Amino acid sequence: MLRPTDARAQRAALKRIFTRRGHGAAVMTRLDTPTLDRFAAALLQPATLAERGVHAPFTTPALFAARLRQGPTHAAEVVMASPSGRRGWLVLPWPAALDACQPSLADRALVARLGREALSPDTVRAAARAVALDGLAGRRARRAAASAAATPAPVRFAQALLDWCPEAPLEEDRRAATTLAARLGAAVGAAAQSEATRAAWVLDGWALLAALWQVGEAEHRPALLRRSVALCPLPSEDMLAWPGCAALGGSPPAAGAPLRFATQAQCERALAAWLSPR
Amino acid sequence: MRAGAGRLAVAPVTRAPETLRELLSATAQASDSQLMKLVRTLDAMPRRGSADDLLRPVRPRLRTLQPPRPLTLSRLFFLPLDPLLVSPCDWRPRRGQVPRSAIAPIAAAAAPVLAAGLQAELAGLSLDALHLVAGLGRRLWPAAAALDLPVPVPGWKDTGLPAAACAEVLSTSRAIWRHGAGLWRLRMEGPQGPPEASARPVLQGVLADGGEALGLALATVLPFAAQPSRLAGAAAALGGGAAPAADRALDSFIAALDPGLEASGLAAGARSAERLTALIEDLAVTVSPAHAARAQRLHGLRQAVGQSCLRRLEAEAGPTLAAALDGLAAAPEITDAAMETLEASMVGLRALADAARRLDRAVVAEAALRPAIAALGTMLPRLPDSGTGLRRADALRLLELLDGPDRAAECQRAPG
Repeated sequence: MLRPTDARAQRAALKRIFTRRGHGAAVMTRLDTPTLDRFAAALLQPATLAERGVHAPFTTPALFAARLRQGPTHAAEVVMASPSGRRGWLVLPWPAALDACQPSLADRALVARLGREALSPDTVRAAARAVALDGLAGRRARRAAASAAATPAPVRFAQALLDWCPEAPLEEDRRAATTLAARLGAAVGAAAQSEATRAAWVLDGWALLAALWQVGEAEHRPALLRRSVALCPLPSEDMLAWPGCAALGGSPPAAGAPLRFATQAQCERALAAWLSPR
Repeated sequence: MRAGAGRLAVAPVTRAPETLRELLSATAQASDSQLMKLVRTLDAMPRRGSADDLLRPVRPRLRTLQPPRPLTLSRLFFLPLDPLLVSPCDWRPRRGQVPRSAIAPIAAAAAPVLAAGLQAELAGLSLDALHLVAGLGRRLWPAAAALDLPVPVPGWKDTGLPAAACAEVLSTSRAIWRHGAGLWRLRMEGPQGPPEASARPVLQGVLADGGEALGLALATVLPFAAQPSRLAGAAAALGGGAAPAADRALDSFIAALDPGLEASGLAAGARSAERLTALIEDLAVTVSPAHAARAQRLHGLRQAVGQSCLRRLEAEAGPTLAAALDGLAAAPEITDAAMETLEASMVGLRALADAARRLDRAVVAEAALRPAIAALGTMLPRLPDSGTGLRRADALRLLELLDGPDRAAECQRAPG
C-alpha cells in the first residue's frame, strides 16, 4: 500500500505520468518514469488471492488488465505494473486512480457495479458484461455482451505468440514472446488439473491479454507484447500451493511497460473480444 | 464535417491533364483513395523512370497514408537510405542525398552479383513485412557496401545527373549499407526512443568511418525516432568530432519537418499533430544559447503546427458539428457502424485539441469544440436508454471523447 505520507506526492506524480484528456492514449513524457520510480513498488509477491486481485477489463489504456482488489475497508484498489518495468506492482486506491488516470466511463461503472462484492474472475466478468450491455464501452462491446456467454480460452494465444516469433523485428521480442507463451502453457496445464473455480483464478488475466493480441494490428505487436509481458498474470502464494500449480512460480519476465501501447478504442475492441471470444 | 474521410472536394477535371505540371497539380489534389490507386499503378510498372516524379508533391501524405508497397530488390537495397532519397531535380552535391533516379541503375548493377536467390524470396512480399527486411538486409547491405561497382554505373545517364555524381551517391550509399543492419534495428526501435543502450554501439561503429558517416546515419534514423533529442545526444556524447555532426543532422531533421495537417483525413491529421507535438516537445530540450537558429525554427514550427491544428479544428468542429449532432439526435436509426465512425471523428478532434493545448492554443481549441459539447449536454436528458436511434450511452460516450471522462461523468450524474 502507499504510505499515507507519500500519498499526495505519489498522486501528483501519477497525474503527471498519466496526463491525458478525453479519449486519447495516455501521454507519458520522458521525465515521468523516473519520477514514478522515486516511489518504491508497493507489492512484490501477493500472498493471497485477495492481495493479488483480479485482472479487470478496463478500457483506459493505462489501466487495461490492471488488477482490481479490495483494500482493508473493502474500498477498491488498482494494482498496476510499473511503467518503467521495475519489479513489483503499484497499488492505487480507486480515488487516486480516478485522479491520476481519468478512467473511462465504462471503467468507473465497472468499479461502481462491483461495489463491495467479493471479487473473483467470475464476478468481475459478470460486472463487465453488465456494464457493456449498458453501452458505455461502445456498441461493439454491447453486441458482444448481448451474444451468448462463452468462457474465454486463452490457449490459442500461446500458439499465436509462437507463430509471431519469426515476424518479431527484434531478438528480445522473440525471447519475450517465447517466455510468455511458456508461462501461459504452464497456466493452461495447471488449470487443466484444477476444479473450475481454481482454474478461473489460474487463468485469470490471460484471456484479456489474448483478446488484446487478437484485436491488435501487426504494426503494434511489439508494443502489445511488451505490455503483455509487463502485465503477465502473477500467481499468489496460496495459488502456488494448489495441486499442479507449483510450476506457475518463478520470477515473471521483467519488461518496461509503455503506456502508449494501445488506444481506448483498441482496449474496447479487446473487451468485446474478451466478452465474446471466438 | 469530414468525419474521418479523406479530402472531399476535388476540382472537376474537364480534360485529361497533359503536361507534367498539370499531372503534378492533379496528383497534389487527388483524394487519399485516388492517391493509393496511383501508387498501385506506379508500383506495377516494370520501369517507373520519370513517372516517379508524379509522387513528388504527395510524398509527405504518403508517409501518413502508408499505402502497401511491394518489397522489390531495388527497394530493399535503398530502404535504409530512404530518408536521404530526393527527386533528381532536388539533388545537390555534398548534401548526403541520393536521387531517386539513381536507384534503378545502382540496383541493376549490383543485383547480378548480390541478389542470387533473393529475388525469389522477395516475390509477393510487401513493405509491411518489416520483420523480414532485417534478415534480408543483413545479407544484402554489407555485401553491397563491399561491392566494387564501375563509376558511373551502366545506365547512369538516365538519372539526369552528371557522371561525377555517381561516385558521391555510391559513397553515400555505402556509408549506410556498411552499418545497414544496426541502423535498421535503431529504426525498428524508434518508437521506444530508440534506447540509448541500443543506439550507442551502432553509432560508435558508424563514427569509426568519420563524422560525415555519422551525420548520414543519423539522418536515416532521426525521422523514425520518438525522441530524436536522445538519439542525437547519444551520438554527440561519443566524442571524436561526433557532436558537430550530430548537431547538423538534428538541424537538418528539424528543417525538414512539415507542419501541415490539412492534406489527409481527420484521423491521419490527428496522428500527425500528435507526432509533431511530441517531437517539438522533445526537441525543445536540445535548445541552448548556442542554438539560436534552432530555437527560432522550433518556435516557428510550434506556431505553424498550432495554427494547423486550429484550422483543422475550426473546419471540422464548431457550429457545423453541433448542428450535425443535433440532426443525429433526431434520426430514427443510427447504425453501429455510423456510431463507430462518429466516435472515431471525436477521437480525432480531441487529439487535435490536445495537440493544440500542448502548443499553447488551448483556449481557441476548446472554443472550437464547445458548441458540440454543449449540444451533447443539452440533448442528454431527453435521450432514451434503448432504441434504434441515438441513445443516452452513445451521447455520453461522444461527450467522454470530446470533453473527457470527468466531465462526462458529471453530466451522467446530473439529474435529467
